[in-house]
Amino acid sequence: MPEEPDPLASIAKGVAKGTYEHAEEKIKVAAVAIADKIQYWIKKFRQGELAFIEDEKTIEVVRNQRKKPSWKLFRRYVKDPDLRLQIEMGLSLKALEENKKNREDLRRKILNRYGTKGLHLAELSQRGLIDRYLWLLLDETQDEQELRDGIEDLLKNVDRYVEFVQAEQDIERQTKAIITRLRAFKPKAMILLCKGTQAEENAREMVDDVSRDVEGYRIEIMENVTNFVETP
Amino acid sequence: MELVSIKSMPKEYKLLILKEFGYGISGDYVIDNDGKRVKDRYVGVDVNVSNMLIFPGSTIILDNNPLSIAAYLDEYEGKDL
Repeated sequence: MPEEPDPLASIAKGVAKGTYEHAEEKIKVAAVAIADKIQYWIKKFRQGELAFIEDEKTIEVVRNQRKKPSWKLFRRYVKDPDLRLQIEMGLSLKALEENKKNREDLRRKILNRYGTKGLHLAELSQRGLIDRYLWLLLDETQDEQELRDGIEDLLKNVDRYVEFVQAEQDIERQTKAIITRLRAFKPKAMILLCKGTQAEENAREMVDDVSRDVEGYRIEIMENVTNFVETP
Repeated sequence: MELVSIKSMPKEYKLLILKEFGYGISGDYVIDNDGKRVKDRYVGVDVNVSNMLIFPGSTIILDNNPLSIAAYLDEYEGKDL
């Protein structure tokens, strides 16, 4: 006598087959939907209406810095796009101050593209010193051309107009070098940067000595410029 | 411009997108038709699949960082992200 099929096993088998087919169908539908979505994106991308991004945050950093009035001024007065980018990256470094990993990554990339001088300029911008110099120039120049020349001159020769004062330094020699530069290039302004009590004392001594020898400069002291510029 | 985040997109889908533009993936990096790693044109680093941007304008594949984005916007002045 042939064995009767187990009805429960038969039902279970049917249910399993149904579930499997249902899942398979769902996967197929999902795959088609994804493929359609990707094709839609590709079409819009090819029309120049879409971009693929990793995250919104990095784009937001760039968007926000381009809204700043000082960046708009630099855009107007600095024609060299690389110099403008170096200043702009200072603003990015500032925006990433709380995110050490991304900030260090960006510093490396600025260094790769622009070398030490470019990173130096970006870091000065990060600390607001390029902005400060721009405002000094706005005060001291007579017309737009003079302002434009002054800014370009600063950006191209930043090492000439920004001096780093350190704790252990031959003050007399450095003072002489500054006086020579002031006389030779007659800049509208010069920035001295220092960090730490001893370096600050050195800077004050140098400023006193310079102001005795070179006339016509106003002295302004900015304190608490946080996170001193990092490049050597 | 519409921005599509690919941050949490599986690598397989990223590959589908890249293939549409004639690129591929080798390990963690984007490769071109010749199998060479694609370099970010502005900062010179190999583009990692987990940190990439694809911008229109002859399909520009970049590393996700502010310098590359700003340089792209300068080069393609009409584009607005």
